[in-house]
Amino acid sequence: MTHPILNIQQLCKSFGEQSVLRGLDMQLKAGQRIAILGESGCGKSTLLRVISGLEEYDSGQVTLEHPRSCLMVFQDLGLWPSHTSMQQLIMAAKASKIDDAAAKAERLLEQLQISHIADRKPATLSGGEARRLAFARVLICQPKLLLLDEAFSSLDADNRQQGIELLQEVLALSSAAVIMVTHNQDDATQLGFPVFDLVGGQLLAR
Amino acid sequence: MMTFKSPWTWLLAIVSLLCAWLPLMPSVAAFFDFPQWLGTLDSRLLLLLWRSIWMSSAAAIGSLILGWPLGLFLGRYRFPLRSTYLLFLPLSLMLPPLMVAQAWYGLTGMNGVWASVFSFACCYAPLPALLVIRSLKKQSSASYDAARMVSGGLGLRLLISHTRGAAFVGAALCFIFSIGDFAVPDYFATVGDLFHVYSSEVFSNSRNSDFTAGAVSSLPLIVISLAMLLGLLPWLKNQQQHTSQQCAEPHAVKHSMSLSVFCLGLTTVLVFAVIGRMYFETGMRGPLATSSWLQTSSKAFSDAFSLGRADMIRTFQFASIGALICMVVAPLWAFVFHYSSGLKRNLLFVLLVLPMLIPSLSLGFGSIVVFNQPYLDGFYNSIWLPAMLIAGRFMPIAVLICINALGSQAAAVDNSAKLHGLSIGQRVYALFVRNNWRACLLGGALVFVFAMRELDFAILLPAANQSTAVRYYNALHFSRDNFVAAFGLSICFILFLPVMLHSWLSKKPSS
Repeated sequence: MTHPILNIQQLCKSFGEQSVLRGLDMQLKAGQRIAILGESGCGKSTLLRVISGLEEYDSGQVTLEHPRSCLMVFQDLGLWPSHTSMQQLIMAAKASKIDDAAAKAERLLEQLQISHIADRKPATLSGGEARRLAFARVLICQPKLLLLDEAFSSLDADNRQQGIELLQEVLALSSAAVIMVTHNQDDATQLGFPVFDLVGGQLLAR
Repeated sequence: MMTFKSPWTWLLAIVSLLCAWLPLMPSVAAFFDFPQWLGTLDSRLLLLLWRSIWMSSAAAIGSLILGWPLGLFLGRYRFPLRSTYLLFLPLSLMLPPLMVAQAWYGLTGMNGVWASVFSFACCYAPLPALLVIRSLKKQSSASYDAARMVSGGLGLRLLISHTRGAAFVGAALCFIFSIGDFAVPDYFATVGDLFHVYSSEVFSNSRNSDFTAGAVSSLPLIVISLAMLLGLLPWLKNQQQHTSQQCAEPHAVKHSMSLSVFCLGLTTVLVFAVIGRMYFETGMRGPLATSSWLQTSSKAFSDAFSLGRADMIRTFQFASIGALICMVVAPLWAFVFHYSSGLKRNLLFVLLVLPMLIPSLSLGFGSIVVFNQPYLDGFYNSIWLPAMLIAGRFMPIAVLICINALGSQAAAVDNSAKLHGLSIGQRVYALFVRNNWRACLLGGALVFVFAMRELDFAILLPAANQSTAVRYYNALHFSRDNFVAAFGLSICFILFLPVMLHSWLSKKPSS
């Protein structure tokens, strides 16, 4: 339980003249859950994109124990517009070589109380339903590391509270390690995650 | 993103090699004679090149004058008959430039250099107009409404600055298409004062069986066009960054009738006058004719269908296959571009667009050199060869449309697919194409349209001789005016069908 599933050493990343990550070091153990706070443009999302492999980095080292088992929930969710909820879950599960995808998808939709949207496409879903579907799509793949990029930033106060409750519900169904980036300290406090600040391109524990 | 292990990389490479790069090889080899050819560059050739450059520049400015306001009004305001003008706008792009030239000569008797400039401006004005309309669909609703609330003038200024890039790209494309066209200047030089342009020199070099001279003399035109296209790349990238906001919708305006009349005037210049004149010419009679206008016109259409039916069917076949190849391969190309950057992106861009920039005659000669082999006899005479050349030559059009569609899609859609481990085939075909099938269809339709218009390599290749463009060209040269007009209109109708289909499908709600 204590071995690191993510090990980052001396990570540097810049965009043109602007350096966002400057020799960042970080370790995450299996099942560990943390929140990273920082102002807009400080490099929080870039860090997640580098960890997930979506972004190249300039120097340093990023080692993931299970590189194919790292998934992200994006700020705008990234649902696939032309597929129904059920199709999205089955497609994701099959790509992750999960057996019995259809039955597991059905069960997950039920657990997240969205069975009624199984045959609906994202354009017809409410914000809350779409968010539940995005979580269901990552959960079915049984990730070892889950990255949450500003998961609640587009929500108002009421919906933000519902979003946090949903995330608690979702995380209870998974043993994945979690890195959540946010600019709102309340999100991290309510979830009970240890908080790190991303300042000057480096992570500082509180 | 796509490695050499991926079967999709191989599909892309094989299709591009067969359709585009192999027929280009002889021309590229001829480019090595450029230093030697430079020695033959005299003041006459330089004068021709200069004339082509300023004529094309004037045509581009003309296309801006006609197309930019039309695009602004159709894209941003609601007024009577707007949807009709929108439907007919692309038709002027479908009309073969030679037909536009012929119609305006018939209507006004104009000829010479400025008649060519005017014809090109009319032919390509829909490019800035359509791109401006597309760009307006991505304008932020908040910034536009905020400007309008301050004053109408500020709103208009914002519209102009927002659409400037799109309008200039359309004008640049007009420049590229005009500078390589020899048929329109040749037509006006035949019916009026004699003059030459640089593309006529390339054409006559190529037709004098001196393949190397033809290919190498086209190099200045290719370099100019390529520089212009590379200049467009930053704009394409910039377009992709402005897609996530809520976008402004067309709105009602005070002087809607005046706007409608203004747009009617421009659409008449671009489309209705040309179509009307050509229709009139279908019934024109000689001084000794005994039949009425209507009888002559009916006979002309009847002749056009009976004599041209086989050509139309064959052209339809190879144009459709070419368009289908593009619809399958263009999304893959778009993905490759989307995930490449810097020098690699520019090099890929050059490889992609070169077959479209090289004179069609050179492509035709090149394919004869490469594919006219005893063991390829069946293939050489089949419709597959012109279909492949069509796909190779016009692929960039479909790819640019797909790049734009991919840029408009939220980045997280493909990023989440990538993280979930979906294969490149699933990401391209199950997600992107399924979600953007209208853009892919539009790309295919445009390839089909350009294929139907393709003349130069169709004249050269035996497998493409039996085509609508060759039939039209021959009839024009034998002065069969009724037949030419009726046949031209029939081709336009067929070309317009995909546009109408796309327009009809676009009105359907998204499934």
